[in-house]
Amino acid sequence: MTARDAHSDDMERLLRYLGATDPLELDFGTADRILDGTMHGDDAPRSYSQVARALETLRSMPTEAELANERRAVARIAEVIAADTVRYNSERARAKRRVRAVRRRRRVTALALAAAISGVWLVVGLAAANALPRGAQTVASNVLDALGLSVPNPTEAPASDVVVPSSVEPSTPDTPAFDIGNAVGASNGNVPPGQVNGTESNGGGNGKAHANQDRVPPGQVNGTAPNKGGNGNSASTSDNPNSHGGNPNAGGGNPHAGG
Amino acid sequence: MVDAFAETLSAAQVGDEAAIACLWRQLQPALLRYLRAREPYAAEDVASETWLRAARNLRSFSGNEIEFRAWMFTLARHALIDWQRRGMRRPMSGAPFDGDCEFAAADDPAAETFEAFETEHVLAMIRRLPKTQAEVILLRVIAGLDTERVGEIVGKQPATVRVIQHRALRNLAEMLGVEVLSEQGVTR
Repeated sequence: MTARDAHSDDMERLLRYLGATDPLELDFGTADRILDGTMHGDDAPRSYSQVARALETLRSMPTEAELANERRAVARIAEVIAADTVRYNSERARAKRRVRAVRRRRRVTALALAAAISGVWLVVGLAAANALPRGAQTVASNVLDALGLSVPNPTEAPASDVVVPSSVEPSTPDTPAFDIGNAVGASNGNVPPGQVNGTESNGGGNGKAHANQDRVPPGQVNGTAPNKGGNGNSASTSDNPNSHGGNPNAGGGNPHAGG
Repeated sequence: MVDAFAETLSAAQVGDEAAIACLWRQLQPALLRYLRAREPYAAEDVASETWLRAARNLRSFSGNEIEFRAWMFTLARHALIDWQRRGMRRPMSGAPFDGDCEFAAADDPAAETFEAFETEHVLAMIRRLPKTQAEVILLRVIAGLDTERVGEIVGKQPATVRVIQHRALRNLAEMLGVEVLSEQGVTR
């Protein structure tokens, strides 16, 4: 090994050293501590001790110059805060008033709505009960009819469920009793004579007479008619199972039986 | 238990001058140093603007002391950005900090002058850093905020802030002429 080689080796080692070690190397934790002020210049890595001391000066006590205008600045700030307080209070009061007005309006609206709904229901109820004055009832009926509700209408003819026969043949001695009875039964319309005759235990004639007592105007039904064959029918009806089948003859009764 | 800061803040929010003065004394020097490092000729004006903005919004603020500091420095930063955007160059109420006897303390004027000079020297050094690095260093050191809050203010992730502050320290070390190798007598 020559002197030249030795020198070369030293240089290589030096260059390797310089490449491997960074004199300004600093880990993040130490950097944080320097910046936080928890690491003083004396404790910092050598390369950063002056940096740490320099940064400490930034945290030094305030100078008089920095606090020179305190009184004026504080007065100005207090003035702005006071003005802001006044503005804030007035805005708050205005907002409160606005909220109150909105609430009042809502309350009035709700009450009016409730009153209107109640009124409508009242009118409908009275109309359904036909308790309104005639004109109002007519209007209500028309309106509610349009809505699909049926209420009495005083202008229309009263519906009668009693159909009075235009003429009832006066009974004659030759006329069988059951004809009269059937005629009355037919005048009621709804019930076939045979079925009525067969109902319960009443005899055909009597049964019809009872059923028709309320509806048939007096005088049109011959009061004697049921008696003509009624009793006989009664017996025959109860005995004859066909009487339930709606045989008018059976229901009508045999005049001879009554005789 | 209500801490002292909360009481002071509550009083300041309703306009109590003593409480306002307390907050002002605590934060004004730091604000001025932060602003002087960023914009030396407008620091006073921007600081005043910052306090006015704080006064207008003080009622809506709620938080602890650290949050209040972060809030104030955020306001200062925004005020500074607005000022820079407007491009205004109003005459300052005073010259940039130059170590004059104006701020000399009564007990040890020389020491304070030297300290102020040192402070101004460091601020000038920080001004030479890239903008983001300077801002991170100022918020970390002067405002005393952690990396999370600094990240919120400058709009970066905390990890990014740590990288930035690391680079900034390295740059400062280079600026200060700390050359280990040269001290060891090794030259590159």
